[in-house]
Amino acid sequence: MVTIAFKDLALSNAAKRGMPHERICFTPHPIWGKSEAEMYAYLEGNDPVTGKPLMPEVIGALTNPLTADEQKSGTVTPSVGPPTFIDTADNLQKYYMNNGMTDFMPIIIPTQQKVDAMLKGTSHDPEEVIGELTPARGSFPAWKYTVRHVAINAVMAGAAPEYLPIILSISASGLPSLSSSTNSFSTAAVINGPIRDKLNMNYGIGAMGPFSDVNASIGRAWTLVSKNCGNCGQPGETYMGTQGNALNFGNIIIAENEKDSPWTPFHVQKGFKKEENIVSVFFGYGIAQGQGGLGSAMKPVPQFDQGLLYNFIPLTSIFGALAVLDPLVAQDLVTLGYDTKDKLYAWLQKNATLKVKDAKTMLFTGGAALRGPQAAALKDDDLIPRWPSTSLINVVVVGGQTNPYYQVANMSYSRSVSIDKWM
Amino acid sequence: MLKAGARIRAKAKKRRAENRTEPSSSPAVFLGGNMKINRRKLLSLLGASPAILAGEAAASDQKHKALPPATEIKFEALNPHGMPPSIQLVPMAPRQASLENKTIYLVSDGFPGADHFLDQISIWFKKNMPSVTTQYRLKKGGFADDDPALWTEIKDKGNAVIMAIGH
Repeated sequence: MVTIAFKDLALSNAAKRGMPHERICFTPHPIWGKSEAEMYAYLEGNDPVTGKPLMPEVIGALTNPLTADEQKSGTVTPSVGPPTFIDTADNLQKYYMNNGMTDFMPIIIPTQQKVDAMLKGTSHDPEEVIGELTPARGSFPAWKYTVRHVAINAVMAGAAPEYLPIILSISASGLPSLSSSTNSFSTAAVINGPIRDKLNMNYGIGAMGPFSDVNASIGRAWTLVSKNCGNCGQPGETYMGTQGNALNFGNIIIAENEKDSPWTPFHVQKGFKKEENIVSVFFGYGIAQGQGGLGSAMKPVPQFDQGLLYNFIPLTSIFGALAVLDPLVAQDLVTLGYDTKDKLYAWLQKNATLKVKDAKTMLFTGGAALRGPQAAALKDDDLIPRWPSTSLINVVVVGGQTNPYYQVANMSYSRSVSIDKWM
Repeated sequence: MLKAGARIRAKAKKRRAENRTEPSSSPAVFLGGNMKINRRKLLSLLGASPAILAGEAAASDQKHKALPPATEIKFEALNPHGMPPSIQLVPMAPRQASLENKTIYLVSDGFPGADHFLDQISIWFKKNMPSVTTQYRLKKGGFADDDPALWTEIKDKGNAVIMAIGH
């Protein structure tokens, strides 16, 4: 039984899993938050799709004999359409957009010539299968895609061939930029290594904004690859984000400012060599400004550690914290005694606590501390850690040092992928 | 003596007359905004002979005839889609002839609300089909995770399943 809001998703998902005739009954939406009387009224009412009395329909679903179609077995190969589309430029723009292949902004039309030029950005065989994507692992079948498929989407995004290795490495991570969840999640990618300077990526003023074609087209390509190569982002079917997320257009693309950071670069912390080119991907909710945190106005050195703790308050426990600091903030934190990121992580994890009684009222917060045998002994005023370990807290340094500001995302580190492999 | 407003209007009218373009067959140049200047006049002002434009109109005409309008030129563009997996059709499980005296498992996937809703279904059966036995179970793991132990139990001890996805 599924609520009406998820009708398309339920029917489509059942079909993709080989059960196009699965017997599904629908209820009004929502169930969550309704009283027992309201829920019982749903049962006494009608299926909003068929208009028929609901419970007799449920009983019929369990007892009516199977039709010939419901008993079919065998294999079906879905079609994604013809290999090429031929039309005028204007009509192609409309065709791609109207068929869910864009981010609803004009694309660079991916002609064979442009794709061939893009493929010169990598030494890999265009037909090499580089990975698979799904809007939600375990819930939707995963699609596979080749170097060529990613190159086509990179052309559409406006990327140059030199950016292709980064786009391929993000695509190879298996993390889509568009999750199916009702939560409207977003993603981030942190790029480290000499490639940042080679491609003139922006890690100064406006680093996370629309001020570099490199940063912008890489982020855009991630979304187009997710839509076209992973079947993500089809509203009502593979995308249920109730409000959507503005970050999905270009994602958060961060080229870490390694030269102005007082700390070890992010990828070195993860075990890579400084000279390696690495992209690290993150997943979770959005990002918010850190100005206004407690201690942020203290002098002579703002108490940025306290400020970060304050900005952690609205973060859930299902994802970690990704703090994005301008180099000036990082330098001030060193002055406060955090000469390594690990020291900062340890202090933050220890002090990012909340009361049991508060955690119980907060969605997706408290996590492991509220489950398991030890939870029974907890009292309402006991403090529990927001996150059980430092591995859920990450810091990267980026920005142009016009002011000591920072931003905090409720995002977890997913994995790091070599860019060098895709050169 | 003309009033100030009338003087201004008269000056504007004189300016428009000076800037008026020649017939559209003459090469013209847009210099930005709405001002359009005759190219031959511009070349003369720059000390160049307008004769250099002599072949341009003809050549331009030639080009114009050879190509269709830009909006009608067609392109062949590549399909950006990846490769969906093949689908193995799953035949539905045989149905019960009747639910009387049968056991129905009510399974929640863990999403908020599913447990309470299934509880109401159990109450509905007690009221309307008291011979039906219902068994509530919370599926293990995340929403989409398999729970093989539960499926085995249902196959062994149950006759049917109603699964609620919450929301």
